[in-house]
Amino acid sequence: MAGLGSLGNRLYRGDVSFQIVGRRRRWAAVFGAVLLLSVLGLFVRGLHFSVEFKGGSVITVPSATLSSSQVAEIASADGVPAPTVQVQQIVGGGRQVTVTTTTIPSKTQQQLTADLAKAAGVEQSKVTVNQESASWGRDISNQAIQALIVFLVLLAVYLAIFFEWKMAVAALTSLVNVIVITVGVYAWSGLEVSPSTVVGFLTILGYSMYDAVVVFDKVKENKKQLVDQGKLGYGPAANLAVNQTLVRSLNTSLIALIPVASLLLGGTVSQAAVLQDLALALLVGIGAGTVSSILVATPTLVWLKELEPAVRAQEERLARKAEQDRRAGKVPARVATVTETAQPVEATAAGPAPTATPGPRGPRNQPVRNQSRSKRR
Amino acid sequence: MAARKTRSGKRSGARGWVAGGGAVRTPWRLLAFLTVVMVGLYATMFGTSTLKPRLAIDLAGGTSAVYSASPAPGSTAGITSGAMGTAVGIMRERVNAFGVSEAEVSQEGSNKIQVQIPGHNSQDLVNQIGQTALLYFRPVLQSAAATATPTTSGSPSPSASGSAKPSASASPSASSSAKASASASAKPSGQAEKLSTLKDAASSSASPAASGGSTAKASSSAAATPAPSATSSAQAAAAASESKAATAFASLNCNDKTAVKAAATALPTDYIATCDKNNQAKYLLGPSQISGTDVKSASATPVMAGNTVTNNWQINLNFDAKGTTEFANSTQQLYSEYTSQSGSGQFAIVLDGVVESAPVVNQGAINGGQAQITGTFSQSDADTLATILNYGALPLKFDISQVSSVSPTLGGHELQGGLLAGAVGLVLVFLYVIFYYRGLSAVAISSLFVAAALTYASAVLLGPLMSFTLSLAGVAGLIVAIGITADSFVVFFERLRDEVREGRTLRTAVEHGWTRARRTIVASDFVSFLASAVLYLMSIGSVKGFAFTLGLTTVIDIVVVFLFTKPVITLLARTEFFGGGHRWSGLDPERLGGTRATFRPAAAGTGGRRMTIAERRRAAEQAAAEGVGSDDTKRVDV
Repeated sequence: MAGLGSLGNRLYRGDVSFQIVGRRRRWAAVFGAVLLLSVLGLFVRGLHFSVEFKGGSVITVPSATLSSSQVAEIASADGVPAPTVQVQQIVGGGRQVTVTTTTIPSKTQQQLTADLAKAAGVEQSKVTVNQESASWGRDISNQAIQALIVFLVLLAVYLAIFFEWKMAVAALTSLVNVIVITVGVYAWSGLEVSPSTVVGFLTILGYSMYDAVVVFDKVKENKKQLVDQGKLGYGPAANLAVNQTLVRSLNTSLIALIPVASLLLGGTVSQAAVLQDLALALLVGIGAGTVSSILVATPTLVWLKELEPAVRAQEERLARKAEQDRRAGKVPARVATVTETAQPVEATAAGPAPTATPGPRGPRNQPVRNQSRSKRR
Repeated sequence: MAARKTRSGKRSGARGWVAGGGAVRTPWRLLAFLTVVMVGLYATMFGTSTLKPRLAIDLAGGTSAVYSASPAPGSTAGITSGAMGTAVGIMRERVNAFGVSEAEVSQEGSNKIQVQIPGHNSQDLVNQIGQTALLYFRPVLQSAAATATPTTSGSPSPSASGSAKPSASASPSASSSAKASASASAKPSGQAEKLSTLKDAASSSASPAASGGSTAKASSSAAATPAPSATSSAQAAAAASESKAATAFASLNCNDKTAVKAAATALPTDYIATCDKNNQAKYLLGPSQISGTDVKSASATPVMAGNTVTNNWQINLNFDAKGTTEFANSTQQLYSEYTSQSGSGQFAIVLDGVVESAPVVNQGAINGGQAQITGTFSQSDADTLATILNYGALPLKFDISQVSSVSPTLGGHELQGGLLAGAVGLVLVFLYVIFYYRGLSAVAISSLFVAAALTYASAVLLGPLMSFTLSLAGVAGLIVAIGITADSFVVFFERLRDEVREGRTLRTAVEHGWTRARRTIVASDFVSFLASAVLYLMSIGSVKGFAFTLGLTTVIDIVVVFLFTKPVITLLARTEFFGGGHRWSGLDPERLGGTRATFRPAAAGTGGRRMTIAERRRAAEQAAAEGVGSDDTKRVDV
């Protein structure tokens, strides 16, 4: 991983810098198109809801021999209209047959359960039955959406208090982005939406906010150390923050995706629908969340900040200065840009030292500071 | 965990070196604290021999059902938390009454009740718990054999009688008000058919005694509308309801379930036409006089004939204060009907629109709030009726939203799938971390193990403590949490490396990096915790289990980072391997873009021996100086 490691170094030092904030028009266009596509998908294809949203029963009976046509016969003999029969092979767990029906009376369902158990030659207690009223999926989702709204409000309040309200707006923008993209993926791919999908989905929202908080924390720090000192404009400082946390973001996402991917694998192997649905939603969402916390949250924040005259004035002043320096031929253009971004490295090294770090950084460290300071002078 | 043991081996050496600095001991103190916590948790686990977490129905097998409440017909109160609490209590008692052990009844969200019955497929039970709902005592205006099935005389034909105790004097106000309402009553409704098979059977055991009540023409329907402020329009509405019910009664066929359904959803103040539970008789009933909520208790006992127990059973009823008054009024009324032959003298116990029992009041008004229902009850009939009377009156109406019966085998498979996924995920994360963080990965991996150990202990101990059960969604939450736990040390390590890149010595880098990383970790964990707390408090079903484990692991993550990862890194920074920036330590300054000079000369100079403080300081100074210098040069040639 030396590759990523050294990329991390160069990103941190500003040797390599992805123009994420600078190209925000491009990102806006790209995401605008993706969002449009997602919304289109929702209207054109719609979402494919699971039985929990439509109401009905799912009966799973373990059997090595029952064929799907046999099961369908039993079901129609019991007066079950239009059953869907699936035969599943569980790795290391044998074979099972699953019947999905529309809403049927309890009596019919119990009859069917008993008949299936008899046909499969197993006790009735070995049969798994799920009976959902048509409102169940909606109930569970409504409740979850309410929870989501409360969470968003609390989150916005938290960000507004401990960060600033523009960060709250930017974070929520990126969140809406994640929601719409994920819905779009589900619409276009035709994947089934179950309550577990909704659960997984909600986690993503928390998760993608978590990502944004880490980036914003760095933006906040850079602002204090660079922007307020007049060394860098807000936009470049924010861009530096995104770059500085890029490796962390990628690392974290990768580490989060690994277990989720294995969860999908485990769910598929054991035919546990809950695990599959959850993991799939997480997989889609973490992807969308990572991308959008990098490409949407911070650019939106910068755009909002640049609406403030003072911020824009400072950025323009610094840009003019850089331009003058370049014209004067003091430094070659390339180095000029590098120093602009490299400056913070030095600044962060020396800048916060007097305020930061209580505790064990005792007298031993004193000479280090003195040295670097005197050297700079 | 193994990693911790090896480190404690170094303890004596390290202590010798740090002796003198008070603050330096902190890492040991934190680690000691964590050890105490862990030992405490596991000692509790072994002490109480709870070694495995409780598994939820979807993993352990069993039946779970979710009922959703809607306000009872005619109730304007809506779904209050008080009513939900009562309903949960009643359902719990009901489940227990069925003799199921370890069943859990809990409220979910604002209007749902979840019932979990582990171990076996109990769908019948679930249906029965959901079945019994609204109970009312209504006067019988008319009764007849069901048109569809001929009445047989074998059906239970109960009668009600006052308790043996001289309780009539106990509530004088009750009887007086009974008289008042009786005398104030309007004219009787048309009661062409006075005779019913039920009444016949009941009256055979009757021992009428003349009562002093004002009996003449009072009808039960009049007593049933005791509203003192009843306006003429209300009376008109009642009359309309009555004539409608009377029409329905005339054409009622007990095999037609729609009629009974209509009766079940009728308001308590409506007149209804309905059937008994065996479809053997149909009834025209007046408005409810007593609600089932006013039954304090009911029990079934054998009827005594002298000192010998007979095969007949009776149901003993106890009313609360309000019920006592109402029951006195009602029985007064009915008894007068009975003696004057002006009415049936029967009241019907109506559950969800179905008549469970229709005893005749044949021994005078019952004023004491205690009554027996006798008749040809078998023990099971009597038990059922007593159960219905006890638990019948939920304050709300419940529909089954979701039932799932999971076979233990399938649950086991899914658990295995989940655990397999967890194991594979962990191993892959380990590999990635080793690949990327090299030496530091030892800290990362042991952090994950500590977190796993703490999570396991919490999951086990929270079982008995707050009846936490691990569901499949919960397992998923735990697996997702690997990512969150890992993120904390990723943030910390990246910060650490940033500091090293800036040319700090590792020891200062640890403290510096930590101060900054700490803030980020706390902020992001707070957001994650907020999300799971809100989800947990507001959601229902599997979302709850998922949110709980996610929240739990977020808290544990904070604990682990503060009490384990940070102290261990602090201690490791003092070792040569890490502090010296060894190639495989994951903190090699050269790899991180700093300069090897930061550490090398000092490390080489000491020749493997631990550096003295002075040496270290000198090396650090030199390194810092060079670091800044080389930074500058490097920048130009990139």
